[in-house]
Amino acid sequence: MTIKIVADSTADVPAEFVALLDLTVIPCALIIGGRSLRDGVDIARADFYARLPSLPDLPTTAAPSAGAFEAAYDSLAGADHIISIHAAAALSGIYNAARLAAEKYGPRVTVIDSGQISMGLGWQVIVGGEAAAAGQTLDAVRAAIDSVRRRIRLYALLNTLDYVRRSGRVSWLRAGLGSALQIKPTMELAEGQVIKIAETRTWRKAFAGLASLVQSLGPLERLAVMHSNLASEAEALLERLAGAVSGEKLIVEATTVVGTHVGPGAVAVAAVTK
Amino acid sequence: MSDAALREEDHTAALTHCDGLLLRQMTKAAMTWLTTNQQIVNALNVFPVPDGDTGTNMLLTMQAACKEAAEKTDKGAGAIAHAIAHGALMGARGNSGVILSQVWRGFARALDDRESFDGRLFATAMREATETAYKGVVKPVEGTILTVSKDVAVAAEGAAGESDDLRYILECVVAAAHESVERTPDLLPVLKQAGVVDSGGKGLAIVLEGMLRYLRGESLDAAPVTPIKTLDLASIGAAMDAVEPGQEWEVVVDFRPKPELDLPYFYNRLDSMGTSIQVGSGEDLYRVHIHLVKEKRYEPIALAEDLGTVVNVHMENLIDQMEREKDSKAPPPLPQVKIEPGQIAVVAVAPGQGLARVFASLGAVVVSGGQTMNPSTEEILNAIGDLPTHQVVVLPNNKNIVLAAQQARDLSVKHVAVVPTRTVPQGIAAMLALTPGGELDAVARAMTAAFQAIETGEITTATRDVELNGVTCRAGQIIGLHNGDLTVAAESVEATVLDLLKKMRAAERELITLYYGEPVTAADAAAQVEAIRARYPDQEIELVEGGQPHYHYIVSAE
Repeated sequence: MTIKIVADSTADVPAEFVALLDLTVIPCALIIGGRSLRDGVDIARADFYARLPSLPDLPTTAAPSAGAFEAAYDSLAGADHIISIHAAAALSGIYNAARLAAEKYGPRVTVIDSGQISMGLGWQVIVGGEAAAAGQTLDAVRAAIDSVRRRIRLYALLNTLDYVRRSGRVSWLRAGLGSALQIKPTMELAEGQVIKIAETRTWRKAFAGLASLVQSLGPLERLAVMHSNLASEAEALLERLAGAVSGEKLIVEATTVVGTHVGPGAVAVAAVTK
Repeated sequence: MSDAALREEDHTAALTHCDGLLLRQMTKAAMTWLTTNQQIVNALNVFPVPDGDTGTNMLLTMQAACKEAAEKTDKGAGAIAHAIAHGALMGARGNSGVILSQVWRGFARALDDRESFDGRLFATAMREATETAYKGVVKPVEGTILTVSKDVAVAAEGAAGESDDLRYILECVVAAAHESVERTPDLLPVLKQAGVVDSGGKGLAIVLEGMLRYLRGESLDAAPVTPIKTLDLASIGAAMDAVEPGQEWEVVVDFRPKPELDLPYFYNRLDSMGTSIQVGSGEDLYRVHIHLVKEKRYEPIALAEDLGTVVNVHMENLIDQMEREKDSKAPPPLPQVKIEPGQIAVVAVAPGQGLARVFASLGAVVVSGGQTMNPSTEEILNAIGDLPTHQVVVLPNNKNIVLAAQQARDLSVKHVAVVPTRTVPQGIAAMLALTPGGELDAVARAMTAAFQAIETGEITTATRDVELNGVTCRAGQIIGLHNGDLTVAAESVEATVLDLLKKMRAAERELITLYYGEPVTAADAAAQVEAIRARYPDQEIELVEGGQPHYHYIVSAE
């Protein structure tokens, strides 16, 4: 039985895993100055983050069309089953586009709302891809995805609240909250809900807080540290946390679609607990 | 018994009983006498800063007490005392106002529901008043209003043993109060160092003295002990920002009296015309400032013409002027956090629009007030009551508001914790540690721990000459306070800020935040930031419009 995994570019799955596990990643769209660019394809991340702070208007993002999903599902005609895992439905229209596209394929395509983004989603895609590549049954692959999904913790430390506020995706940030002072917010994403963990005035204190928050999770199976144009801090954080991790440890530069919503200078952690 | 009736009386005959009506009149007289002497009490600030004026706070507390007593139809002394106590409790502002309200509370409790009191009961009530006042403070400090109230109770007991004449007893009490006030610097070293007596104790002595003056039929209107202020053409009028209902006309008359001005007579005449009366003099010129109703707006001019030569007249409709100002600079509404029932909400006191915005943007409900206008217990209590949740944290953000906040906590039916922040940066640090979904006591502990790590600097103009903590400053100099203590004095604001940052060890910190106040323009503040940046190139510097009165800057380093 062949099972193929489809994801979207917000999963931030590193290219080597995409190739190794034969994953299909559908790019989201980034719209800058009226031009639509394919996330991770038409625009380099380094170039994007360098330009982001000086852009007159914040870029907008768009989910892939249902047609893009159909094309992907059609291209996987040889697979017995397709599992399509996507960014939290509460935050994005990607899951819904996939679900609409999947209708005509009936039970052959399973669409999953990961409740996550970036490597919080990415680990679910990778674990599903590993189980599928190992030739496991549909139930076993789904169980593996479910299991990792329950054990994922995603925390992000942002350099500024400005970008996430403008994204309009965090309800408690509306109406000017947190706008009068410099705040370095630490947030958790769980089941598509953005939860405020801490508001800190200085980066060093917030960074130390994030590290001890992850350390308090205990031993970890896998760990990804994501960043938006802040590789040095991501490396420092990974080094500090590495001792607790038994499996893969990754540093991932967040994709442009995610970066648009968190802004430059953010670090985040997607940890799979044991 | 009317005011006039008592004045007609023989003030030497023994007065053995005091009923509710007389108590009410005496309390009103105490308030009037405190009004007359308000500036004397205000001037007794240990720190030479325009902070939490004790005289104003105690006066506002007494005004609330008198208002409640005036509305009471019951004529019993006990009932009137309870009304006074309740009014004082709700209207209490500042630490001395809160303690004064506790004095009244104990006094009323002793009177219970009696129709009148005699000398012995008065002494018992003063004892109860003292005990209640001591209990109202977590760590009682001697050399304050508490000590004065204790000495007063002792004097009352002694005098009541000698005579049943309330007038005599009150004479002994007032004398003891003034002696006690004079001794406060011996008990509290900081007073001695600053060269002042305790302001709250002085206020209590004046309240008791006002009552005695009423019983003796002495004048309360004139201010024989108040020195006439030096004529300051710029500040008179500008300082008067409160407009009493109906008193919408501001009139300022400059005149040369001929012959010499009979001040008590002049004050009496003015007092019958309007409110907010200020008289200044310089050379042979006098300036009178007064608020009046429309119909009386020419009367002070006529009076000045009777007494000499009018030189200049200024007349302005204050309500109209205020409306225009309100229209031209109505601030945008503050952000409002949505508070769910069961969550912990925060009430924060903020001096100034900009700081109100900062606290609101962090999710707090703001009570305005702080540096010179302390909010009353009732204002804080109302803010707590208006929240759609039963768990509330209060951030006073000023050392002189902590007691009023604690009093509001004790009066509230809700579950309230006071996190005793003494500065604005402390309040912001505490606010950031808020977990709305947590357990109140644990959250309050976390917020308390968070604010203790912050360094606060405040820059203002010295209100008088003083030597304190080894720092000498002259009135008008720029001074810097580090965590509430006088630390630096210099001629320029810029130098004071830099000196203060050094004392705050800003070089070891990551972020310097500068909240600029009313005395500073945005351009001055931007220049100040550049000066700081030149000295501290490695630190982040954030400039925020605070809008606080009197304080050029409030600074934090973290």
